[in-house]
Amino acid sequence: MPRPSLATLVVVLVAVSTALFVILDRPDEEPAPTGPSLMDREQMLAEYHQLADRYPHPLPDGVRFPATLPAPGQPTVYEVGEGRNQADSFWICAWIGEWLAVRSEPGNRAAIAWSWLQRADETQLHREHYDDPRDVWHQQILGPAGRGDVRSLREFYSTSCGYEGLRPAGSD
Amino acid sequence: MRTLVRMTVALAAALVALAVSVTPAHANQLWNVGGTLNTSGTLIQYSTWRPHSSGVSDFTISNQVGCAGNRWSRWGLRKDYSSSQFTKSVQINGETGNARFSRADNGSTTLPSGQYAINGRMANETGHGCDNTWAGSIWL
Repeated sequence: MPRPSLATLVVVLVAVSTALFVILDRPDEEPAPTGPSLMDREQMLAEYHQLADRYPHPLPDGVRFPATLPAPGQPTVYEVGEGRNQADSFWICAWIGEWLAVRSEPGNRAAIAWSWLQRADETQLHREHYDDPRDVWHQQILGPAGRGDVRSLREFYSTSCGYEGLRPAGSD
Repeated sequence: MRTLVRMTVALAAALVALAVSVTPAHANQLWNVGGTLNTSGTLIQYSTWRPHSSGVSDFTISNQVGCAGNRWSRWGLRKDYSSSQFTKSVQINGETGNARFSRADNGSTTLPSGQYAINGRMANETGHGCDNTWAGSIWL
């Protein structure tokens, strides 16, 4: 059996490298947001209440969906889905806050909160409006928290869960 | 031939290991984005959200909106449903361009872990030869 030549090895190296580069460095595509599917604030709030008022899953004890959402500082229109997104986002944030607050306490509240957080993927926000091809949510935010490193989840809560009615982000 | 196969497999495994080892734990992502802006000049809150695990965010326009001689657009990121945008607005002038987002509260270009969505607007332009279709990319 003849040994492979240096040229053969170089060709193989280039081919493998090219394939890996294409796989690892490919920009992720997203469907382009479309223009005509826009809502005014009243429609957005109606969409929010349509979901929030009959949310299919419970909130933590003592937490209620906000009666309204703050008005932006300038005239704004919203892409369809954003009202429901906010109801879903509030629900997820509520359970993040609950879990962060009780995770070190005895009892089953932390387990209950964690089990609801696992179901964030069932929300319309995550199913239809989350662009996360590399699974940052699980791999870098929720997953590390489940393994005891809550820094990224706590920062996420502090950054993106500034809703009225939710407990403030704490610290360990 | 078997030796060649072994060497190829070994080489591929080594390259995969190398690629994985040099990928930062908090790797940002690059997305192609695009859509249409509102020709009345009103801000649009797009409904696509992207989780982010800390780092900079760069925005590039490759297909600008507007009319000949007056092509610009303004962009920002929001982080939740607050009344104000999380980043300062960046204006991109001309046919193409790019900008780095910075926090509105302290100017830092490091955006913390969270989820972000794009805000965008253009001038009030409805004349002949104007268009409101845009395309670009965001690194987040």
